[in-house]
Amino acid sequence: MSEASNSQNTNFEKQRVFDKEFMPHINSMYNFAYRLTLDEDDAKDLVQETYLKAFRFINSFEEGTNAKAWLFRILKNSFINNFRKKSKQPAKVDYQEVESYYNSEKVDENITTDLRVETVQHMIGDEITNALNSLAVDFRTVIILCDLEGFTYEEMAKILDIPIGTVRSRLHRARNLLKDKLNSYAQSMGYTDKRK
Amino acid sequence: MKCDDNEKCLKLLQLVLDGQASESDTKEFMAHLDKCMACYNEFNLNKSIKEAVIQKVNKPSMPTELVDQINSKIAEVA
Repeated sequence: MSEASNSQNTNFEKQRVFDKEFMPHINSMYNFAYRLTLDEDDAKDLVQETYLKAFRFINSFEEGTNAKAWLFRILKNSFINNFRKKSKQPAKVDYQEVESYYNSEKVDENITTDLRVETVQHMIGDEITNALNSLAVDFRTVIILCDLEGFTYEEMAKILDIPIGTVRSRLHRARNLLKDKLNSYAQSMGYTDKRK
Repeated sequence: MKCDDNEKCLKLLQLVLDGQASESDTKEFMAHLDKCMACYNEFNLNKSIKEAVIQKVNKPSMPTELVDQINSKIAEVA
């Protein structure tokens, strides 16, 4: 076989793997990118860059392994390297707060709120979305990966490059922060506990 | 009101909520909920928030041209 037809075969094979293993995740990838950047153009650029990178390194991908987790990892790293600095990030987290959050794997106590199940159930999409988007990106990320994308803690640890204990504690804290936001929101909207 | 074994329960609560606890741990935790109102309330609140996130968070709609743009970029480098 000539060299030319060899490389043609390789390209054909790369394209086949790309279409079969990577492209089916495009919607999840876009959703993740959008939720990280909160900007349509940035999300598009991020997804495009991720897919180009994945294609470039497609030889290192083993067919049948978890393509989605690999793509999410590439996207997350591209986001950190290129987009994080310029992205429109709400709610900057106090540095010391982050520091003490990240350096501990201990699950802290739940915050106690007056928030009730019924109140949460009555909230509409925009309210839940705003609360989630107002979390600092690292906290938002673990909720997206776990609740919206259904990754296991082990997969999340691989995507985020952190130990599984840190996944657990970060998720716990993220949910406490979300709960706190929802609670403030409920109070500002005048949802009150009728039992009181 | 607080659970006597708060720290252990909080860990377990999260694992059960996310479907990552073993079968026996799940059973143990669900049985504990019958005996502990604090954990029962906490579990239900966390569950309702998780469900609200899954069901209600707005889904961004992917721009239709994105797939074509990616495919043409790939064709350029392939």
